[in-house]
Amino acid sequence: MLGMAAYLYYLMTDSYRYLIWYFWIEGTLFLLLMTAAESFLALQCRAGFDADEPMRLAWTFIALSSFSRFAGAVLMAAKGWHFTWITGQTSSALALISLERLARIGDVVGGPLALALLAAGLSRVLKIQRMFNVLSRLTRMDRLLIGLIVAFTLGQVVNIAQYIAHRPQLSTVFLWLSDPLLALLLIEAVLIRRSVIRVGFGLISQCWGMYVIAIVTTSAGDASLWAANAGLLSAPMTALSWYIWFFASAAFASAPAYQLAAMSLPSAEESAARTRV
Amino acid sequence: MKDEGGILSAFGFSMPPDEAAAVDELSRQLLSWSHLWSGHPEAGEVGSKHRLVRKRLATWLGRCIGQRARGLLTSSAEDLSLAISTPLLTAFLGRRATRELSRQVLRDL
Repeated sequence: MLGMAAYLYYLMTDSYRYLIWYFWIEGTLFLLLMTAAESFLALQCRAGFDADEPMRLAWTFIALSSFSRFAGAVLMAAKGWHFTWITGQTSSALALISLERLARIGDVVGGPLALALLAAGLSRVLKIQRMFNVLSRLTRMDRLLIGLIVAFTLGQVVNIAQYIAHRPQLSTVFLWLSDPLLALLLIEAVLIRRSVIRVGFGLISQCWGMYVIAIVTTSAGDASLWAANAGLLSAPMTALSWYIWFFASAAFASAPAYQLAAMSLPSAEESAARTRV
Repeated sequence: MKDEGGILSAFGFSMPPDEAAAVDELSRQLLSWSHLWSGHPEAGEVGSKHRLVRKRLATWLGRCIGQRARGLLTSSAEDLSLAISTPLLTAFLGRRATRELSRQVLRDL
């Protein structure tokens, strides 16, 4: 409601005042809360599997990816919020420099590192799904989509190779990895989507379905950032595209919640039955 | 100390009649659970228990994995059993949750 009000105010007055407040305060709090919840839930899912079970490693990677996203959100929020608290203090210049550096680390930890860990976790899930024949054959449309993603990624890799010749900062090089990693995650999402369609909508398939939504919305957010920078989006559309990140972080947090619900359902039923007796 | 031709005497054990009867009852129950687990009823066994197990198992598979998960395990609904669904359930829910689920499926049987 607040977000909608802030956006409507912006549309009517052309002033970013409340929109910036909204994203700065509520947006940051929402992101911190979602990534913290995601980390906690992913850790609980991991604990539900014994050390020798194949899904344990998948959830270890996914939990690490959640922690990376949380750490990245904390570092970036620290920079954004600290800016106002420290102004006027003698040590502020030094503090700002280190916070700037921390925010840069936050960008890498919450971006490409989290994506790489998620890609490792999901590839493990796909391997297990293949073992149990859960993955079905790809349709022509799926192959076309994967082909387009691969072509786009190869184009990106060529661009990156050209930019590397200009000796960029290490953190910048890491940030360039975000797009190829997102492309890899999109390919995994296409495969997972097939498996979800194959098994129908149970709690486990909804868990993986949520990761598909999270990956697609993250890619859409990334694409809208690129389009806004390239001047392809109008100002109201650019402001509207910022809301995508709420859906992405909510989907990332919902996925382990579904897995945990599936794992706790039999024991919850047992407790309910005992209470009835 | 007779075992009235039960499983104990077959292995050369002997014990008081009341204990032997209890052990025999337990062994019969274990055998019945094992048939329910594997989904292969013994000749003359009541089929309603097997039907109930299949129905409960299909419901749990649908709720936890997906409504079409049964199709991954067997082409015929009649062949669905805990024995064939346990590997899939264990892989995606974990050993502990699958144990609880099996208890729910075999409850009061």
